[in-house]
Amino acid sequence: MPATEQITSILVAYRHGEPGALDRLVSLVYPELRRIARRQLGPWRPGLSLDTGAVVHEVYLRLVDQSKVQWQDRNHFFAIAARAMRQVIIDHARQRRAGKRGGGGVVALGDREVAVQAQAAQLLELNDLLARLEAENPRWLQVVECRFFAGYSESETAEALGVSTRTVERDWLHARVWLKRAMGTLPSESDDAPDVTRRPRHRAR
Amino acid sequence: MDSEPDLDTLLDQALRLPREARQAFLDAHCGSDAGIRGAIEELLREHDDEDPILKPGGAFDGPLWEELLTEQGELATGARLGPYEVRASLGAGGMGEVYRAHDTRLSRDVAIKILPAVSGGLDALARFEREARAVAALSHPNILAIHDVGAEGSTHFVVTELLEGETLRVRLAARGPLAPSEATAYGVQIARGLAAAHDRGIVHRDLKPDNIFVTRDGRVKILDFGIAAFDQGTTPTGPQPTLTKTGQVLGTLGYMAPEQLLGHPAISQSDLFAFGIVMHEMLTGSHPFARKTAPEVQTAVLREEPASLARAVPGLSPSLVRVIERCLEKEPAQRPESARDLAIFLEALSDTSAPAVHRVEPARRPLPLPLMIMSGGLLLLTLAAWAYLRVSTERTAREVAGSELVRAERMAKYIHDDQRARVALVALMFASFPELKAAFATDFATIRDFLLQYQQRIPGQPLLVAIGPDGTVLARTDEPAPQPAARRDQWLDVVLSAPGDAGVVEIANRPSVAVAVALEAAGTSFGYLAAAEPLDQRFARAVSEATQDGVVLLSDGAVLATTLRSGQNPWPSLGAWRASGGSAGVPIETRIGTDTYFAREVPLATRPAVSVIILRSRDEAFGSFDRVKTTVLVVLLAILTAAIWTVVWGPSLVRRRRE
Repeated sequence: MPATEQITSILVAYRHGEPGALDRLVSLVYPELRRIARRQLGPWRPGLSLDTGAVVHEVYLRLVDQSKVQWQDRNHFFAIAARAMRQVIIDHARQRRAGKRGGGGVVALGDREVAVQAQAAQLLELNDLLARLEAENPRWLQVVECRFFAGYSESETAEALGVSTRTVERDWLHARVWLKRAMGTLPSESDDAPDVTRRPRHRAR
Repeated sequence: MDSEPDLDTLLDQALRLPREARQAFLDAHCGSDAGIRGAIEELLREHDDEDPILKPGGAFDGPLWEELLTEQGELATGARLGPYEVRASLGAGGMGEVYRAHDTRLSRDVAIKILPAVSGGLDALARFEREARAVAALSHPNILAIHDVGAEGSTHFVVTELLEGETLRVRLAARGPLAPSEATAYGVQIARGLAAAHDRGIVHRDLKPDNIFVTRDGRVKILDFGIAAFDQGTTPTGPQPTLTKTGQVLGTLGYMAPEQLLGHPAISQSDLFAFGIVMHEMLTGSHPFARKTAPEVQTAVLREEPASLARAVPGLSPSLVRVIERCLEKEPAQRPESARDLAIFLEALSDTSAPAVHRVEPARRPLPLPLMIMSGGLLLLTLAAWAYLRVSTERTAREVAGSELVRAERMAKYIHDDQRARVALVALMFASFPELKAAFATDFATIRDFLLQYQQRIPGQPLLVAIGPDGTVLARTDEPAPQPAARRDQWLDVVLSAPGDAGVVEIANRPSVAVAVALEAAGTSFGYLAAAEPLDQRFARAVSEATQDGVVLLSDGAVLATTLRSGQNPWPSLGAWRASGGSAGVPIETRIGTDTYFAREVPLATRPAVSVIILRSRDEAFGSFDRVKTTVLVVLLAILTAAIWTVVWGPSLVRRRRE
């Protein structure tokens, strides 16, 4: 089945709550996202910022049959694209840590490689924590995907997730505080403090 | 206990307060609940943190994304694809990665474009091969030539000519907008390339500066027909199934025509839209629909006017501005009819220069016998050149004047189309007013008042007529009261027979441009609205300004308008024009007063008959040639003098040298 039909129908299925739709969508969107980001940016200049809104919009136009979707689907798509962007960078980070890229067998030395390895390690650690955050509060995790990994603005994030900008603002704070706790840079909660997470508390260590 | 809503509400409120007021606020609202207070304070501290643990877009800081976006493709130097040896990467193209390679059989360098293996690969692959086959069938200097298609294992590729130069995108980014003459010259080449493709039923669909290459010697080539598709029904072998379907929108935002954005399949007119954008960018260096976000760009393309070209580049030829504006029309039918027309038009716009004169250089160091021969030869040559020049400038000047008249004819037609479109737009605008539909249920006076109210605001105050669904006239702006036993005007019959079509009709013995538009709501017909504007001085003036020529607007029985000085117009009607030898499509020479003019008739309509006569003064047309002739005459006399001098004095010089 041609990619567009496939993606469109899975997107619709996602709206209907079909399990697994999200992951399938992410894996289909991911390569297109990479290709279009590369094309839109052209030659990289330092300080160049990626207009992710535009990239995702173009991917959306390319991959989704707009005669078959509703407005919520577009928002869902943006949220999915944010997850795809997380996956793109995390995959790349993994490959770099495993030494599979960067010239294939030739070890690049020097400051640059050090910076690459450092960022890769940081991102992978963050990614592990995020998996736990998802169990605590999935919407906080989505805000992190939208804001940190996809670089959406507050209002773009609000649209993608179907919440208000104030909720996005709060969730962004909640997520960061949670991460700090989980990384041990904050004292963990004492027993008589109220539970600031939405679910029964799991002690984060 | 559900403490969560309280926490979030308090947090919201605390965030809206200035820092100093927060403590007091928390004192007031948290009471003795140290836990909530502690939690909120922690969140507020995080908010105030200048260097937070996660920043928006933080994943893009650092080298990893940069690597992802700039990494070289899958192929390494030295890899072989059939007889082709990969030499270097040239970057990522629209549909795949491009490499420089060496054809080991023919011993030449080529470019290879590779389709990356992706999910949905079968679709993309088949599209890719179709591109190759379609474009390989073309052979045009302005289209990138395709040499070969092939596959090596699971890697599919296309082999094309290797170009030296840069894309238009790079050229514009590096050195800014082009001079109008250069932009027009490039435009001609691009239009020719498009015309060749359209003739074969191939639509590019993704024309943009990134896909236009300018070689070192100034030749323009269109690349990356990566998402071209056959126009159904126009290929010589019959309709072919297209892989791209309605709803599958392709192309690049910012260059896609409105119909493409709405999900309709791209047509050749869509390429013309993209062409208009490219022309605008070449001339101004910026995009006519530049906005801050992608959805805003989409809205702008669909509904807003492009940035004004005339204002951005003052002094630009009005004809050029006009034709680019036409390319950017939202309705495909309003754009120029074909890329071929566009190419011819643009070519005519680039000024033709006077024929080159071959200068004969006199020998500087005279030798005896060869000297004689050369001088003699010079004399003969001079005489021959003069004779030739006289004849050829006359003919060339005539040709130039002729082609300029052709250009003027096109201009007149465009302006006429413009007027028709404008009148139709007025009618459509009225037809969209819900109040008008309601007004149709009232009486003559009420409807007329409504029409008059808006008619005042429209430049030119077009005639408006409201017509009921059964064809009776409900109200009109040119009559103060309903006519008893109204016999409907003949022109209303004409426009009602083809609603939506603006044409030339006769209203009260004067030719006018008129249209009738149907008013409908929820499937019911409310009637029609007709709008009309006379063909008069305004039209003549517009044509005259655009062409810089004299204009006479004639109908069967009268002169409708003229831009010549009073008393100069020799034809009181079309009949008189015909009687003096004029006919459509054939320029004639005619004397008016002391001047000679070339005149060309451009028919606008046949019933009623209306034509525009365009007059180009011979002196103007020939003026430059006359000057050239004078200059050349002087030069030739000088050469003649030099030749005579050499003949007379040369031998004595040589003799002296020998001594």
